[in-house]
Amino acid sequence: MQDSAGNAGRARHNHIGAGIGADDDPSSTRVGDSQSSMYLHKSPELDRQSPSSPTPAEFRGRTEITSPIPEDPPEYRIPQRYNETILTLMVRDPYWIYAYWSVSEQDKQRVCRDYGRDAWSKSIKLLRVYDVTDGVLGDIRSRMDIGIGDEATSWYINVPAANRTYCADIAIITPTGRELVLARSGLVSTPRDRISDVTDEEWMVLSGFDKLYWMSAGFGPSSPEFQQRFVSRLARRRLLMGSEALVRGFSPSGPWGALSSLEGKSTHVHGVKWTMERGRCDEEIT
Amino acid sequence: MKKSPKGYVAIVLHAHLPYVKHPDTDGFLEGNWLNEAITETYIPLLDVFNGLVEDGVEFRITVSLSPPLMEMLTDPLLQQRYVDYVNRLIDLCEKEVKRTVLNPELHSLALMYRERAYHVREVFENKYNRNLLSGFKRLHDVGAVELITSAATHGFLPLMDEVAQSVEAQISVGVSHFRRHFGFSPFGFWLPECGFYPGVDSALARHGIRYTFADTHGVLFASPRPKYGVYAPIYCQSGVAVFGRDPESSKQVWSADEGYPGDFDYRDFYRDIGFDLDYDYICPYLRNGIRGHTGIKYHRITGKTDEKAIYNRQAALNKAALHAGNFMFNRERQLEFLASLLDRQPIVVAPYDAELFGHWWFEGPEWLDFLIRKSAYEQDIYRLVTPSDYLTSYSHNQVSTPTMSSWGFKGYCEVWLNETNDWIYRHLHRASRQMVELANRYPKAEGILRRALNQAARELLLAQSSDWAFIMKTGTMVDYAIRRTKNHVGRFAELFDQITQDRIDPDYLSHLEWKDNIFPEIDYSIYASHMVS
Repeated sequence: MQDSAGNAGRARHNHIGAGIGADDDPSSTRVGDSQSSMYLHKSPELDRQSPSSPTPAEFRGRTEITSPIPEDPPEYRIPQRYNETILTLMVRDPYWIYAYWSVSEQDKQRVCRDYGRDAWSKSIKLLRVYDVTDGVLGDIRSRMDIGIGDEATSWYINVPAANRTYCADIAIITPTGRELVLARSGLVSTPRDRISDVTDEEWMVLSGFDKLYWMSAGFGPSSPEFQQRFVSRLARRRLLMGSEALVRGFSPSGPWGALSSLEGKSTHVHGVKWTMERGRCDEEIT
Repeated sequence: MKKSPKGYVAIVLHAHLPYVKHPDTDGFLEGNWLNEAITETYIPLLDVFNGLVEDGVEFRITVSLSPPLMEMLTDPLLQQRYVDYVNRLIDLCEKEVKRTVLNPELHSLALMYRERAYHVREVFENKYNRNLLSGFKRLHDVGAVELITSAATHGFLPLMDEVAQSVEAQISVGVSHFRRHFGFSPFGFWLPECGFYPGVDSALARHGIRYTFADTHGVLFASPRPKYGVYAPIYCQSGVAVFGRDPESSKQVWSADEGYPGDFDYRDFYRDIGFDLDYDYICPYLRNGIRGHTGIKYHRITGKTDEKAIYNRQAALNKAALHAGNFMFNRERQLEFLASLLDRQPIVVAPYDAELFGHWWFEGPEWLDFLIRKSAYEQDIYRLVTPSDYLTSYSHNQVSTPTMSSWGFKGYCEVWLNETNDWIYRHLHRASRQMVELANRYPKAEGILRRALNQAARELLLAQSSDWAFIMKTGTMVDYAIRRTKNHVGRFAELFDQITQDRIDPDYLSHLEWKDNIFPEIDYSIYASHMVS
């Protein structure tokens, strides 16, 4: 069966503030069918079986072979964790971060060498989470300590607010009261969970899309060099604008319709005149 | 000339199956995924699109094909196994036609299945020469379908960000293999499971991608606040356009409670003769003799009952036409309303898993057929377009950054990161770091070393397939998903040791190259640190 690395100590959730419940909603899981076909409806919301359909179990459970999978063990055993000191944070959703870690034997021995023979086993192990959204690390007000015990190697951390940036340490407090940081994670950011308060509008024009499209459809030069040149030209022509205007009234109706309607027409985009010709799109500064 | 529509609808079908190929075993249970999808989804969808083109119906639709699917559809062994599968199916259909002869209702359905089975074999062998990608390519060339790509092994990118090169490689291989199969570069990229995170757009931009998709809240919660909600694309700072999923049109098709596929007249998915008929009769058509789906199903959903009524094909098709009309009507009203609010033509983006159509929702391809025909001839409020078409008209869009999001349950990463599957990431991240180390350490490898490095990249990519975490979560075929994860991680670790200890075993390597032969011309150097700026 599954090597659930770090099973011990993982099940507990450290509740700080309100968050999205971590319990699995039964409606989210597909009915436990053993049929190969079931995998095919991997659709997000179809996870819930059609209410009108019977559970597949009704059609199984007969006397014939019912074991769905040949008992074929993996060819490889992989370790539950590796002999390395590492801490990784992964964002699950706006309110939950998953952390996994390991501490190498060498580092544990070093702790014992420097702080006493049983310093490691008697130390308090902590997962220390920092909110570093404002760029400050170590501010006690934006820090939370989670006692992780001796066995845990992973944790689901319930964080109090969405749209924040966090990092974490694996730290220990030795019997003599020394705090040691053994590993530090990278930074992770939780997603916003509501509409942004920022309403400043910035606009961008990426013109020439039709040109690329045209070329890809077999019109005009299609050599990689040409496309490369065109792409870099596009990159240079990226315009940032303060308001919306322009390029209206051309309705795409399939590539041919869209392009033929543009043929021979010119339009001005912030001082640049664009003229569409079959297979060509010339720009000139006016 | 047609008058300008109020707005646009972009239907996007994402086709994907995990890479399952076990050259050393036949009758492998999981192998049916591909066979069933070809029979019930891919060929029926190609039939629908080809029929529309032949009838001169003007339409545009976006189809994303995942690289593992492209690789499987062009694999000679899997193509042969598909032919074997269809031959067995035809054999079963013949028996069913005889068995049901005294029951007119069942008999007409048995005849329908027989006709379909002969048809799929005919087009698979003779129309497409066993390569369905040629069918999709043709539809792209005639301007009906816009083909786009996805990540190399459908890795869920938000949980891969820990090692940036992993994301880069998933995108790079996805784009280059698309090019290899179709001969042109894709403009669009389907993020597996709609999994977006800020920064993934930059990696897409580096590989020439012009647009992608995010779930509704990913775009709605973007910052600065998107002026048009999900009804116009936004540009990330990288210049990649992001289209947001429209919740209304999604719900009408996806929702188990309100969606069309649950209609009582539609064919019931679960009631299959593979479960119902006498074991000795059906056994030869079951994989490994285990009760399972044969694809022959005679009942309709009927209602919340176990007493299923016999399927009535004509009634089901009538319902599909009705539902297509309903969908069209709703889009018309929706776009009229949106057009009154927006100072531009809005776009409604409706992405679906392709395998929903035909496999799970048997009448799905016909529904799509009705919808496209009705959209072309019975209304002028909206027009079907692809994201490229829209960007051609509207190259001027708001700059905003979507939030991390997915279309999985609860909208973020929980489906792929929970108590059932979180243990895999320690191994995947470590292997990713080691792969980067290898690429940096052996920059211009030749000969057997190069082969070993390339195989290590294949094993890592296969381990990263989001399907394994998904399967562990859903509780179906969990052992298989665990086995695949452990085997690819284990093979990678073994290759890493052999490479770094300068003791590559040629037999072992050849065996893996034969066993896990996805992406034959992969170049491991995509993992080098300098590849990510």
